Amino acid sequence: MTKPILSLDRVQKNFGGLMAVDDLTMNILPGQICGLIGPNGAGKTTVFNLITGVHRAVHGSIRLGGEEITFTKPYQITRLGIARTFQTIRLFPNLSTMEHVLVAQNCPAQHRPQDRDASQQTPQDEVRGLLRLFGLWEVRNQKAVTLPYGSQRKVEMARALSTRPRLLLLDEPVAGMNHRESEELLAIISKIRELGITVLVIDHDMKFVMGLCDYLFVLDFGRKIAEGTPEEIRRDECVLEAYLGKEE
Amino acid sequence: MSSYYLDLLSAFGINVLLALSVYSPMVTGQLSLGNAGFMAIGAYVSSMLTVHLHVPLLAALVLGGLTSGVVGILVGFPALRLKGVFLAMATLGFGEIVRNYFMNFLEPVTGGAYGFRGIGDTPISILWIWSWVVFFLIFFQFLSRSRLGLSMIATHDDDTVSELLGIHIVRLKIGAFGLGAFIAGIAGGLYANYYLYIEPEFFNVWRSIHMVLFVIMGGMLTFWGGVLGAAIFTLLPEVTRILHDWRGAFFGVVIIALMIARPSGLLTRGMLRLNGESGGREVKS
Amino acid sequence: MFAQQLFNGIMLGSTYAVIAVSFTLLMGVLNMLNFAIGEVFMLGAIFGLAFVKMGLSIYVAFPLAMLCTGCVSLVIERFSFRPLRNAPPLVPLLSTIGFSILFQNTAENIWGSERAQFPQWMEPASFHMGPVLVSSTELIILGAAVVLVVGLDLFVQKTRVGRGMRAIAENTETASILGVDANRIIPAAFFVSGALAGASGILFGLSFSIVSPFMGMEPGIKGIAAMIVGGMGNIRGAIVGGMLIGIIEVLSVGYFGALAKDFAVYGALFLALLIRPQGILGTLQSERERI
Repeated sequence: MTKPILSLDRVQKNFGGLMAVDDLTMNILPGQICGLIGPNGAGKTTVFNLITGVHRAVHGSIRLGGEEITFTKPYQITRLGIARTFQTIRLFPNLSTMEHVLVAQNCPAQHRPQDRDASQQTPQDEVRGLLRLFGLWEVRNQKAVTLPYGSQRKVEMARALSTRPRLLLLDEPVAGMNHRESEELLAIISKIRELGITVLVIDHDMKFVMGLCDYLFVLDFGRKIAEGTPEEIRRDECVLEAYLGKEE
Repeated sequence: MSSYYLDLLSAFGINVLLALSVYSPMVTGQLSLGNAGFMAIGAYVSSMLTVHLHVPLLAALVLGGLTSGVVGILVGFPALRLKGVFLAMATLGFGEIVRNYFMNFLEPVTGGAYGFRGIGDTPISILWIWSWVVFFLIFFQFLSRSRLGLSMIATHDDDTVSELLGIHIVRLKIGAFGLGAFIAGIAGGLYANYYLYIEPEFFNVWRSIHMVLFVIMGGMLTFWGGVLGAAIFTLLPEVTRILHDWRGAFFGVVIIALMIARPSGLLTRGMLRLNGESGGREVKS
Repeated sequence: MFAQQLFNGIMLGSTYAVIAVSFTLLMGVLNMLNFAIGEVFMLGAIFGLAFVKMGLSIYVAFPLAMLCTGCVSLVIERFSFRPLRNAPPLVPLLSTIGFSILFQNTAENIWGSERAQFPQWMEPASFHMGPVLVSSTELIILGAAVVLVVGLDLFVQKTRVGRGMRAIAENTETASILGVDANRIIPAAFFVSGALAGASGILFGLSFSIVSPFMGMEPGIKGIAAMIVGGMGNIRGAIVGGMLIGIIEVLSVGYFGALAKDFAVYGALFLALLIRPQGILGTLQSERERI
């Protein structure tokens, strides 16, 4: 039985009187691409915020590779190997595409599985590699905020990857993208998996999520109402009920 | 070279240092409206050292700068909690407190409100000023092409995300603040030893605001911006003699217009990017 | 002795309160620090004195000057706010610094650098209120300040325009959905802010017999300090802050001498920012990162 790379154990978070995340238990195995889905307001982004230390859980514990990270501060989280992107794109208005990737290289090498081979790479190689992976090489010197929306999302992801995470949290990565762009991103994320990085994705695009993920967790009103493979979820009664009318 | 031009270039040099002292915190997203206070500390400390303790000039300058720098770091800590307007006001208050301090205390040593006269017998040569200027320009050139320099701009753009990327924003911000204070202190010491007279009233809010304007006009995100701004402010008034007493109004209007038309200032990072390099590394295809 | 100082502090504090309200109005409604308010304050006194010199009675010159400074403030709105709505917040601040320089230099050139004072505008009469010696002019000035701030508070609470300002302060988008016309309310806010600043300048000029192009710098900074100490964006906070700063200033001069004056005031500002940046009456806007 493989040890989970990320586990949430009965995590709870409220904001004032509002229960945003309620008794949530989730286990993610290394190398998986997992999806966190649910209707709007189900608490998905809050879960991300809890994992990355932006919010503090009121109850329960969060563990990364066995290590307790429930109370770890955001910048420490990155050092431990978790990177994330945001629902609203937060790029640096004054930095070029390449600079976004460069500036994130600050993080010392993390416990990535292939670090034995990866250590052969120079920092420049890594930058080049990431830019090429995302097809951003041509626009590397352009100010990132001037790029089309889809490319901006890619820059965000490239930046996150530059910190050499072992776990990547993607918050609505294909929001606002057209079909072709989402397909492109799907392929890229699969490649990321090959690098040994575990991925947890939030998105509303069912087609994307079902096509991408190995395993899904479904939230509604802060509670987990189902988990399983895409096929299992597709057939789950509770999920259908929660999503009535919401599926694309 | 006639003494008129020497004076002009010396003033220009000191203004460049002052601009750099504002640029350093500004590029990490901190607006300081109190750098005249740091300038004052450097001016008074180095003058007290040379006049009363006969410390050699270079040592006195550096000690003056270091005193400013240390105070800057001390102020920088609580300043971290403040953003934008709050920080600007806190630094403004700080600058005023420093000015008041030198106005009301240490009178036997520094002449208090009446000013500190006779700092040395002869003014330092312009080379003193410009060696420091060149030194700092080279320093910032290296800094701007380094990873650290990039982290500073990232912090300026979005410190929350920067922190999430592993950038030590606390160290960066405090360090930048302290560095700015150090440079202002050096500028103060040089000023004192060039003009041989300082008084607290000189280091007032307008002085701090002028320094900030150098950077705002010239370009906020590249250190050359402050150089350009200092040039405009120092050299242009001489050119705009015709405006006479209306120079202030003219500059006011220029600032207003600039904020509408080109809020990041005249020089941008893009302009100075030579053949696509960034972060000091040439990443080959 | 203490009571007298306290009263003097209240007198000074009342003018600071008015200018602090002027700052805080724009801060609350638009999240904007208008650095030029100190100079608008000065222009109020300058205009007021000019009108009086032209032969108008002070009771006419006062509101007329307020009208003028209100209009000056509209100019600031047109150039420092409207075109810069989406700029990072420091940009409008810097633009108002430009206006500050512009106004001060212009006033200096047109008016000259000497200080002037308001001619005597009523028969001086003093009387005792308990241990405190009070002059009738002081009482009227104090009364005017009270009328102004109370008037503003009522304006913001009860009138449609005032409520519109509060709505925009809460949330600009929601406000427009509720039918609040920002394009009218915002200039109104600037106008009111400018009128108040000008009024404060005249009151100051009357109280302390100073009218000069340089009179606005310190009160401006102290007004900002008062706003911060009392709670940004909070009108009642500004009143409290203004009174506090005035009282601190006078008491520190009284007990520690003139040297201590600025220390006490800026020290208070510094402490406030360190200990309780949201001010006495301000509430800490939950700085929840919108991630």
